[in-house]
Amino acid sequence: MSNKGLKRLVMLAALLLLVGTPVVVAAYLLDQRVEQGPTLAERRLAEVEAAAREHPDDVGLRLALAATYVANERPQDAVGQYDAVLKAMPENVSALLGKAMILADRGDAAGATPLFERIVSIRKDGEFATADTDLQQAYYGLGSVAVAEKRFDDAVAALESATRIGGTDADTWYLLGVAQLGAGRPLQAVQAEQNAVTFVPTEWAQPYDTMAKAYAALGKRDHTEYALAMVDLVEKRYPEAKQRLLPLAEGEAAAQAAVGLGLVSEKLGDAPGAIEWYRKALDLDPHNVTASGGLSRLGVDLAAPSPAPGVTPTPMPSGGNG
Amino acid sequence: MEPVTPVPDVAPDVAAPVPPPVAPVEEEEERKKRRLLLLLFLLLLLLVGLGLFSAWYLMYRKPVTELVPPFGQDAVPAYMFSVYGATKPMGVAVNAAGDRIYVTESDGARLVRVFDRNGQPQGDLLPPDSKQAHAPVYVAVDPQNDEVYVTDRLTGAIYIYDTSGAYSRTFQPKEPIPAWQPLGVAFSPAGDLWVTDLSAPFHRIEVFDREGNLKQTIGSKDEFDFPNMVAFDKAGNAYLSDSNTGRLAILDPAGNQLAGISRGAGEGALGLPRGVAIDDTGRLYVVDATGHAVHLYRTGTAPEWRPTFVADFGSQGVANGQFEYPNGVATDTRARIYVTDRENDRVQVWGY
Repeated sequence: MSNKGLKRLVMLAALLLLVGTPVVVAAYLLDQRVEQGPTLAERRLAEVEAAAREHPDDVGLRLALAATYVANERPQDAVGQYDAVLKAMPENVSALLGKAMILADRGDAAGATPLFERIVSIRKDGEFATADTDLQQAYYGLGSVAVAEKRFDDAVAALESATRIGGTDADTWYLLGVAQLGAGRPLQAVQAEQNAVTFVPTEWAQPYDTMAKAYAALGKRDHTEYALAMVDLVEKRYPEAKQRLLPLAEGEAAAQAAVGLGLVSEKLGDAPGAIEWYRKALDLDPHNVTASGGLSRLGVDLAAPSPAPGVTPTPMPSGGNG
Repeated sequence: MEPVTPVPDVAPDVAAPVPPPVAPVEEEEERKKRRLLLLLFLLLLLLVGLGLFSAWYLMYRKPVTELVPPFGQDAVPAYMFSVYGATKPMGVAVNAAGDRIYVTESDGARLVRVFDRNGQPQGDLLPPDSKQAHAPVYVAVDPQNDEVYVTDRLTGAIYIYDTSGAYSRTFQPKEPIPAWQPLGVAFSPAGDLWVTDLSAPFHRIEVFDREGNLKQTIGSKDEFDFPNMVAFDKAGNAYLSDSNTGRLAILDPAGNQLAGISRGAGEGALGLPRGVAIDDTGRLYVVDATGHAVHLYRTGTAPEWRPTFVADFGSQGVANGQFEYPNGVATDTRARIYVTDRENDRVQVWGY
């Protein structure tokens, strides 16, 4: 074939490629494209807005609308709804609490504090005050505002009131620990942080961080090292956590270290190792909730006797027919 | 002796013209031809590549990242969109082409809703007897004919619907099982119907042929506790979510245990496993209802068979990509994953 003919073929192939490539790419992108549509929160907001428009005097709908605005990250619109409710019902605790929390989140302590205090004065002598979760949240709000303003004694008073209503709220215990440390009471800070991590042991590093500072203030070297190891564990630095914990397993923080090593083993998928460490922790501290929780999670019958020394504990069967 | 010819002591004539190259035009033409041929070859190669890609895409319609499996092997899917219109959805199934999504409702009208691949409602599968209370739970599509099998917890039945969505018949074991409680339903690669059964005397798995003959019963007293769903790998091994013991049991086609994944707090460990699915590339998806996430694994190989954990996707919440008590999961051949997000009243579609 002549060069002229070849040139024509090259031009044709180039043209085909030049036209074909964008066509194929466009068709591919078009076929892969999906319409996201409104999010669940936007859908719910549209429903509640329509209902509130239809029944503007319905306080329940206004509060639901405010909560939906909060969920849609539109706090200013939520405040508008709370204000509308408070205009008609100045002592509506849901509206007071909702508005106070938004203001506190914004750092507007001067605006939030009187609202939290109003809730406390309305509810503190109520029949169900000891189980009143709105009152608990108001105390928590007052505590968090006080911590932010470094009024640690006020914070401790408010947060202790909150823990008397909801003794299992990990956030409140954590903040109480921060307040106690700020107020110069490291021993109480450690106790509060230990409560904070009893029910949520591995999801957050902050309580361990505060615990480490409190232990350091108490001069407890092993315990400080344990708390720092737990920060490593929570932040998924498992080898570092293990390295810090292993030397502590025979010292004065042995029980805590054993729990930590159980959690590390569990995270690393070593179920027999985790069971062994949890059992050791329970031998040292029979009431350790985290260790017993770990054993129960791994399918160990706590009523059954511990295996004889040297016998590898049997983890929960991994499935099947046998 | 011959006389030596004296060399003339004369300088060469530097001004003499350089002789012309041999056939310059032909050589240049030849070089040009070679270049054109090479260019043509490259262009044709690209055209063939484009054609092959188009053919592959028309056949599978998968994202391009799926074209080279070794690179996409440990990829984690991303949220694509949600399908709304089912109340408290529990089970989900999709036909292989991915253009029919079947979703069971555990609240509201308690129907099986049908959607197209874009999440647009296409109709409902109605139970045969509307006067009776129904509670559809899990759903499976027969790969041989696209018939839809729906388990009903309240009537203890499996209803079969044709591809148009009309009720066809009720699946009946040839030998009646007293107070039968079918929960999960799935087709094995061998074409058998695997049913998780919660009826007395103990929770178990029953394997039926198409005619309803019971071929095999898997399980014994206290072995399974609310077995939910079964999925199959290419070797025919069954992956069973045994919900209340928090484990995933891997069984060979004869029902013998090969491996498993246990409950725990470690990476890839389970909480309350419910839906299970395996896609056509061997990726295993297990819904952890209380972990509000889906665990992604690579299926194992002989002799260990233990799946390798890749990643979790999803977290608790109401935003796109977050779950509130997810339950069912299904995959199609287009690299899409469908997850029922029960408390958020939607089915989330994830993809690569």
